[in-house]
Amino acid sequence: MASILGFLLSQAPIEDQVSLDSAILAETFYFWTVVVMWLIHVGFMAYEAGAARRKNIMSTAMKNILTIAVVTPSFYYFGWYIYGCFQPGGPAEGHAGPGGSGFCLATAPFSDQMGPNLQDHISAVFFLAFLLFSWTTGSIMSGAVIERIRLSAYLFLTVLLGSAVWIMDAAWGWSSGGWLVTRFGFHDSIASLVVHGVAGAFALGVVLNLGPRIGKYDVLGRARTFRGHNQHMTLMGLMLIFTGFYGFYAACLVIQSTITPGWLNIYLSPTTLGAIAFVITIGFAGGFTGGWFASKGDPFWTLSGGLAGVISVSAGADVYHPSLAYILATSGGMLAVYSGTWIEKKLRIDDAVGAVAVHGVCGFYGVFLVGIFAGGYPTGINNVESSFGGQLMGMMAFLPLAFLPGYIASWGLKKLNLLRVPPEVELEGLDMAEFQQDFFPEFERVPESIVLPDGEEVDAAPILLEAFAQTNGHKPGTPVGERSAP
Amino acid sequence: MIDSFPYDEWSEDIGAFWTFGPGSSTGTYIMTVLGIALMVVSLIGWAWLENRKLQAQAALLRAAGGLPAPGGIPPGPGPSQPPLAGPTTDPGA
Repeated sequence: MASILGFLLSQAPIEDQVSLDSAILAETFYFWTVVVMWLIHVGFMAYEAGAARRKNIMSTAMKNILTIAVVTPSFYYFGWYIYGCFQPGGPAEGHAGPGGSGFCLATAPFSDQMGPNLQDHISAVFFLAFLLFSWTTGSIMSGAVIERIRLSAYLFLTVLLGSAVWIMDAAWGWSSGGWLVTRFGFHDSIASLVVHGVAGAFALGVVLNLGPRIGKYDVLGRARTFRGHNQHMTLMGLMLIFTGFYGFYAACLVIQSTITPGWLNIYLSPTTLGAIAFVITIGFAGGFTGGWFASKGDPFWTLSGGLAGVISVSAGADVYHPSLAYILATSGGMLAVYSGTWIEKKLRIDDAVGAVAVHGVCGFYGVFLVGIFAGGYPTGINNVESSFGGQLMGMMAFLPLAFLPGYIASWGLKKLNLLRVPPEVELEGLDMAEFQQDFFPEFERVPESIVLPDGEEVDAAPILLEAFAQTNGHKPGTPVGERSAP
Repeated sequence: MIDSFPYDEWSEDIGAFWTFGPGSSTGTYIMTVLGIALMVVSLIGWAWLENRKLQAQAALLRAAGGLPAPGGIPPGPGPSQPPLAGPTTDPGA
C-alpha cells in the first residue's frame, strides 16, 4: 500500500507537467490561429478596396481597418458575455453578477479570466479566436455596402452584427450547451451558417435599406457593372482570405491533447485536424471548379466560387468524406454564381461583391446539406443525432435573428439620414470628402467607365450624371432613400 | 531623491487599483465602465465627425452650382476644390 502511494506521489509532478504542457500547447495553438486569421482581414481589405472604384479606395479600406477598432472593445465588454451566458436561449441562471459561476461568469469583462491570470492559459486565446470570427462577420457585411454607406453607419452596424447578433446565434447553435445543439442536434461544425450565413442575411437587411449605388440600374431596371479599380488586388485579397481560412478552420476545434483522438469539434464531439484540412482544401478545389464553369471563366466569380465552395462544406467538415466535399463544394461554387446573378439582376439588389450570395446563400446551403448527407451523426455531449429537421430548425431560428436586426437598425439610420453619404459626395467619390485627397497622386486620372447591360463599356460620366438627377429628383442633398419616381 | 518621492507611499495602492488583480475589485469595475464609456463616445464621435465632413463637402459641391464630376476632381493635395462645370441642378435656374 505504502509503495503504491509512494508511486502515485512520485508520478504527480509528471502529471502536473503533462497537464501544463497540454495547456501551453492549446494556448500556443490558438494564439497562432489568431495570427493566421489576421490574414482574413488583410484579404478582405484588399479584396474590397480592389473592387472599389478609384474614388472610393481608402474609404473602403478604412471600413475594414476600423472594424477592428469597434468590434474588439464591444466584443470584450459584452459580446463574449453573450456567448457565455445565452446558450440556454435566454440568460443563464445566475448570469447577472459575481455570484454566478462557470463559463458564464468567466466571460464577464470584470472576471478573473478576462485579463492576465497565471492559472488560466486558455480563456484569453479562446476569446481572441472568437473575436477574430467577429471581425470576419463585420468584414462580410462590409463588402456588400461599399461606395455609398457612411463609415460611421457601417461601424455601428458592425458592432451590432459582430458583438451581438452573430455571437447570440453562436451561443445557440455553435456551442456544446446551445439549445439548438442539445435539443435538436444542430450541426454546423465550422460555421457555415453561424458566421457566414448570418452575416450574409444581416447584410441583405442592410442593403435593402441602403439602396443601389447611383447608376447601378438603368430606367428599365437592368444592371450596369462598375469597374473596380484593381481586380488583381481583389483576387489577391481573396487568396489571402483563403490562407486565413486555414487558421479559421483550426480555431474551430478544441484541443484535448491528453485524450484520444486529441481533437474535438466545437460541440465537443471527436474529430481531427486532418479531417477538416482534407475538406477545406478539396472544398476550394471544388468551389473554384464550380465558380469557373458557372461564370464561364470570370476571374472574380471563379475565386468567389472557391470561397462559396468551402462555406458550403464547412458545416459538415468534421464528418464529410473528401470526395463528398469536392462534389458539394462544386455545387456551392455554382450556386453562388447563379444566386449572385439572380440577386443582382432579378431582385435588383446592389451587393457590390456578392456577399449575400457567397456567404448568405451558401452558408444556409451548407447547413441544409448536413441534414441530407450527415443525418444521424451524433452531435454534442448528449450525442443528439443530426437530422434534416434539426438543421431546418437552426435555419429558421437564424434567418430572422440575422436579417431583422440588420434591416431594423439600417432602417433607423436611414430615417435619421445617417446611413448613406450625400449623393453629391457619392458621385464625386467618398475619398475626397473623407480624406481630401486622391490616393494615387502620381498617376493620371482616366475617365471613369461603366459596363452597360449589353456588355458595352462606355464613359461613365453622362450616365452617372443622369442617374444622379433621376435619383434625386433634381433636388441636390435629398437623401437617396427619398427618391422621386423616375 | 527618487526613493523619497511621495508617490512611493501610495504606489502599491495605486498599482492594485489600476492593474489587473483579483476579480470584483473596485478598480476593475471602474475601468470596465471607463472602457465602455470610451467605446460609446468613440462611436458617437465617428458619426458626428463624419457627418460634418460629408455635409461640408456636399455643401461645397452644391455651392459651386453644378454637379460634381464623377470620379472626383483632378488629383492634388489640400482641401477639395470646386467641381467641374456641369448642368445645374436647380430647376429654377
